[in-house]
Amino acid sequence: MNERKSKLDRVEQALWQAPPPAAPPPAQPIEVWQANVMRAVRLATPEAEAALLDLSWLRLQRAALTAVMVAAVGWLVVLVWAPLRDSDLARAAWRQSVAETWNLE
Amino acid sequence: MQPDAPEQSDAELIARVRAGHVNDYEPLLTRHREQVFAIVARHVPAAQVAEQAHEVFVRAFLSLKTYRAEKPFAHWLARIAVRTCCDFWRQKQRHPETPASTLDADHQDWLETTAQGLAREQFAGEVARREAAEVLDWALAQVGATERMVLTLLHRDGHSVAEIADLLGWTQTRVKVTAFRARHKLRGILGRQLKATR
Repeated sequence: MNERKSKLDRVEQALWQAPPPAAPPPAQPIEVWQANVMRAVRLATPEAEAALLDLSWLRLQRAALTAVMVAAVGWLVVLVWAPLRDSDLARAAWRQSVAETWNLE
Repeated sequence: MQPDAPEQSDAELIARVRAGHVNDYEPLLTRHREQVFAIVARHVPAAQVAEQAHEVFVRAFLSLKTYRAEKPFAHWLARIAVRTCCDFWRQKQRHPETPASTLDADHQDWLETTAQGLAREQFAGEVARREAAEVLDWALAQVGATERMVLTLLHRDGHSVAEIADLLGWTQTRVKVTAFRARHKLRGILGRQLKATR
């Protein structure tokens, strides 16, 4: 039991004596890293967040406007096409009745 | 900044950043980045150091309004750095990307010879030191994130219990209890491994 304890003590002591890892050489130049941090920081400011909110509000408005425009165009198409279709039907019915009346077919 | 302009103190720069001059955060970043890199490098894998240091500075910026000038900015930043490293390990344990590493024959040899008390002179060697660091990393990967942080802060960085309590925002009792449990767990892990190598 004591032998096991002293073994563990030795291992533990040796482990903590191992020097901590030094800061590794940066994968990218420190200026690039710093510029990235500053970019993230600028995006995190309340002004930037408000601008993003404004942007998303503008996007929402634009999407809503597009949807209204599409609906309006669709409605116009229906409005124009329906009478045309009706007139085609009416014309076909008239032709049929004329043909039947005069026994043309 | 003009080259002949007097260097502004941390407090002045912080006041300007708080007033909305975001660009004044950059001199603070330049001044304290080495300290943050040094702290982060001691606690997270080398490949993650730059990313976590980035996270530290963004968190510090977002919390700048809570900074009270009772203690130096460097100290406040060190607390954020330590807590960011702690969060890194928490996140890593919650979503492990790779399975825990295993010890190879060299590491097991190192364990055995160290346990026998034969490896003291070998510690001068770079290989032995690297093996020790790898064995420690393997063992620490099996304890919890906060336990890992407390153990490394206490035994490797040489901080006192009071300092660790301050860095982590804990009570000293909590630090002592966590350190005791973590050490017990670590010894259990090493003991089982030693038994397995025989």
